[in-house]
Amino acid sequence: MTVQRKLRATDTFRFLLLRRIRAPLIVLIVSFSISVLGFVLIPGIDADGNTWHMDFFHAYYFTSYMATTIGFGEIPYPFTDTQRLWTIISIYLTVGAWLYGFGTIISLLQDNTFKEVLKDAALSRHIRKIREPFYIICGYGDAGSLLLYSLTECGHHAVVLDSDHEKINALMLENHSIHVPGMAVDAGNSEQLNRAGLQHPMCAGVAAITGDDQVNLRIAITVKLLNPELEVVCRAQTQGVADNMNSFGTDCIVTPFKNYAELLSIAIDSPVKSQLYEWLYGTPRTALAAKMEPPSGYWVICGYSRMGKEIYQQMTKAGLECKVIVRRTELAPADTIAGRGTEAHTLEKADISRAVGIIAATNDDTDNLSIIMTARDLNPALFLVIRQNHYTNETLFAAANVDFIMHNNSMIAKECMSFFTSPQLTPFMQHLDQQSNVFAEQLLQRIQAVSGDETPDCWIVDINEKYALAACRILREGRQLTATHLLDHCMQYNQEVPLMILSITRGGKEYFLPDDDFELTEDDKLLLCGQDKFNRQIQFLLSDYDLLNDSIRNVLLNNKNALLQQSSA
Amino acid sequence: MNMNKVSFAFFIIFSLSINFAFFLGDIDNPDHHSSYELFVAIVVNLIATVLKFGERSQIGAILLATSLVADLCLISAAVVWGVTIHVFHLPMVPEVMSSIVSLSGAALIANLVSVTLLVLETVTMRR
Repeated sequence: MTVQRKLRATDTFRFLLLRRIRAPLIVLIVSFSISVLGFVLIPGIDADGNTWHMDFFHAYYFTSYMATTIGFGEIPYPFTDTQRLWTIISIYLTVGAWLYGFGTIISLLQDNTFKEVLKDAALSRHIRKIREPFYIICGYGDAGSLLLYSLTECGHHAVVLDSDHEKINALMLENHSIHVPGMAVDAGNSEQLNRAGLQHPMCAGVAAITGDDQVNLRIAITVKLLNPELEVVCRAQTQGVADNMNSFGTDCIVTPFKNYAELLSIAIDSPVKSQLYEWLYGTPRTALAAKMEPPSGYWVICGYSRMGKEIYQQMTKAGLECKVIVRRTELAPADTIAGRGTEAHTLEKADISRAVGIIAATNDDTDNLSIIMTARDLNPALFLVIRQNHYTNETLFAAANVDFIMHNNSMIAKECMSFFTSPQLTPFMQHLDQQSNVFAEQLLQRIQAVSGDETPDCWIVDINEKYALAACRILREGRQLTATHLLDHCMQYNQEVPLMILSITRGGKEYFLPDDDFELTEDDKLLLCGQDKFNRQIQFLLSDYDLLNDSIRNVLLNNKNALLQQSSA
Repeated sequence: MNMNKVSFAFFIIFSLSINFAFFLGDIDNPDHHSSYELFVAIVVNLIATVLKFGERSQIGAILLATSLVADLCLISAAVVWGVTIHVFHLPMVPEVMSSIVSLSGAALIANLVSVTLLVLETVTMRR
């Protein structure tokens, strides 16, 4: 026997509803028919004193308005006493049946399970109807809400899952530019992930960023089993889980502690590179991050949890001298100082006056703030790095006026966002790591030129039939298409240079920072950087044949003019 | 013996029988077709319909559909009757009577299908 397809909850409830209204409906039909039959059989006397029989038409009419307590009166002639006696019996029979029947149906409609089922059905319908790429966000904590904000700001659709009802209710109250369906379910449940659109043709990616590593792991496995094509990004708190996720092909693993540790050591080594990182990974349209220049020298690290540990390892690897202050010294390095770090004497014991910087990396926001305040009093020249655990403390941390804030959840959101919208950024940053500081400085200036005062947006443009039909047509005609043609079009409306190409991916090979006359071919993936308003313009240009032709002609004309001027000069 | 199943079969077969009782006779002779029979046929049919609510199987869905067809035909017959007498104030002429009876004949077919299905389901049921 084949396995029967499991009926959806909606169907189950519909059957249940129909079964439960059987009894009230039968009672209604029976009482009505008894009453009608009675009125037809009982003789009456008309105005002239003749005997008459009510027909079914009038009997049904009379019963209907009697049962519903409307009561128009005795028609077509005043009733005899026999008829009135039957009316009395009928009233108690039909009015009771009517109230019972209606009461049952209304109470069924107000049933909480029923309402829940209706809501779920509406949600599933909404998700099924999404016709644009969307992302599934599992876990709606600080990281989830920051990621959702970035996604919706860039015009992407998303579905949010969280096991906490309160968080989903909060999501419903928030004002996003795009309607975001939220489901208060366990995201580790494959059935629920499917309902959220895991196998939907438009699903573009899954972010498993709940606070529980095991749940994240389960989500990653589910995605890779049910829809291997789909890209999944996971948050991992420990290296063991990260390795596990890696083993079955999780596309991107976010380890925020490690990322911050690396970022910090890059910043000490080369402030320009870390600034580039902040710009390219930052939330678009926010103010550009300022340069941070953590000095090289002796550092004090407070707290030796996962973050403190990563930073300690990263810094000692970079050859920096550092000292750890932690309450429980069992797992910490040998020369660790025991204490909270919030008191002056522990900090003095760690030789704070000699230190160039302090990192407050405990799990407690209040402790971290207290460490920073105490340390600043003891040594005002310190470079202050602080770990922020909760997004709600945002204003406190901003007021603390420190040099660098490490906020895990915003790191997770940033990493997920750039993975979803511009995965080519990771190889680009790896390439940048190997370049000199001078190169990075030049790149920084070019980006500043295109982005102005705001953090630029990075996005991918595919040169294929779906997204760039006109470009494909021109390329097939054997004509040249270069970056200049794309930029020229945008410059017609805006005098400044609007955007730049960071890299081009062609057949698995990356071409970083191509020249303006780099020839494009079909199936290229362009990583663009600039103000996001040009995203739409470029899309439009690439799919409009005439516009693209104009742009090419324009560039030719400009080149000719330039040549003429040169020769005349 | 399950009382639910008895009442289920009872109403389905009863609706066919009473439908036939109304249908029987000269098609255009009002004397052969009693309005009481039509009334009972409608009531029994309605009850049979409600009893078929909430059946999950494929056969349950078809049973409900046949019942709905029968209801529709019988109620149309009653409406034709009522409209002729009370709205147009016409006497019951053979033309109208034959239309009413043929509508009840349509319901009869639907009820016949319903009973056939019921019998088929019972026969094919494994013991």
